[in-house]
Amino acid sequence: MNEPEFSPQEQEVIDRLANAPQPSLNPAAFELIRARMLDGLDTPPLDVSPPLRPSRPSPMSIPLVAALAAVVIVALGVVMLLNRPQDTITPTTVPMATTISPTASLQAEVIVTVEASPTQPPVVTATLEPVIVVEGPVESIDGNVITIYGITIALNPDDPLLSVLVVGDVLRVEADYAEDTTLIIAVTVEPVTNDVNVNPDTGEAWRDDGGCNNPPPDWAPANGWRRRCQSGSGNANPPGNGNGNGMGSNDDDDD
Amino acid sequence: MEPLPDERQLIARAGRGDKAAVSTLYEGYAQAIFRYISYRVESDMVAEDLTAEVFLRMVQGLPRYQDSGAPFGAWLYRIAATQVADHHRGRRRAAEPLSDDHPSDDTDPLGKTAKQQEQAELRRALAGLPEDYQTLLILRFMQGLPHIEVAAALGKSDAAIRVMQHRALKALAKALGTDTKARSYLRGDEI
Repeated sequence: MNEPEFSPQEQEVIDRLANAPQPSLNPAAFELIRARMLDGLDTPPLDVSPPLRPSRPSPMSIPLVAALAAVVIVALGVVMLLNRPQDTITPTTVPMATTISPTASLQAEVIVTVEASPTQPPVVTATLEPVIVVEGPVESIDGNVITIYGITIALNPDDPLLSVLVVGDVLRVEADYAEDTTLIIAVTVEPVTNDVNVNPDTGEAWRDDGGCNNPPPDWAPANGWRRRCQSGSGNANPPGNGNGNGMGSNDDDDD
Repeated sequence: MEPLPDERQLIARAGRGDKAAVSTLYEGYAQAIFRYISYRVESDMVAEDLTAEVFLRMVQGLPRYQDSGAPFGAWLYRIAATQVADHHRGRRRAAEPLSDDHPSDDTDPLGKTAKQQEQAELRRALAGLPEDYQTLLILRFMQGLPHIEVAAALGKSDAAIRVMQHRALKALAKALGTDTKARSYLRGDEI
């Protein structure tokens, strides 16, 4: 792959970084760390039982994730429910999106980093499996990284939902833990916002943008699009423009 | 970063508690991890502590480490990034006052070298960027890692890294801009 061209300003920064001082561990610290690390080998592991399923947090990561979860629970008054059956979330039903870590073999589409949220409490559900469910409005979007109630969520950059997602959309994220890090891997992410729809078979996303130039595909509920755009008055975009998807019937599911 | 000779075997042995193998892995990656951390925290002393944490977690995690094809170093960088993030969260929780000059371990201000000043400037500028930008810039341009390894360390696609690097460079250029102008002014250069 060709190296992208950099602007002179970018190249100046690159040169500065490339020539930056390279600090190094002094010999005493180097040996001290080595000794501490090797001493750690003599410490028995907290739990040697094999993981129950691929994405289950490792014994080492359990305290980290538990601590983070505790912060969320204490700070936000999180509601803990135990009413979700274990088999409602199946990691293998979600297409593989990214490798989370060398040890994580879960098929995941989202990484969630937990931080405390100071205001509105998210709905967090504990199940028999270590699954966290966060449901709430998207507070910010930066590339493929979104925030819900202060929780930073990295979506798969190829997730079609990103193309239609806007701040304020309400998402439901079902998450699991990655091994050896404080990351939480979401198993599924689905929009709750009424005007965002995702095709469960293909992952394709469609949003009613309020205009008439973007008709719903045939798999998506119209949610008022036809009443707004195909009725007599004010129909600036007559039926049949665009791809014509979703326009072959009159069963608009407006409420 | 080039993998160590016989790295897979080393990892397997280290996972079984072989101290010599653990030690060899440490020798191979310690300085790189320390350099990464040192540009993401306020002092080399803190960087030393966090480097120790990274390798303690490496030891704890090795028995369950599974080779997914991603470089071993990427796994270590991910642990390091998590440690740095935890460190900064802890600082915020403790309401530690943010210093303008990011105090270093140097107790003799007059003895600061140009290198130390440059390191401090870069630290200060990097600290204002998003965490992923910091990691990308350090690994890609300071440590010379290829896109694919940076992508593995950040859990992103190669394409995403290529796009992100332009934004990160632009952000860092902006953060360094004032310093550059100040240096030029002090040298008497025309700006």
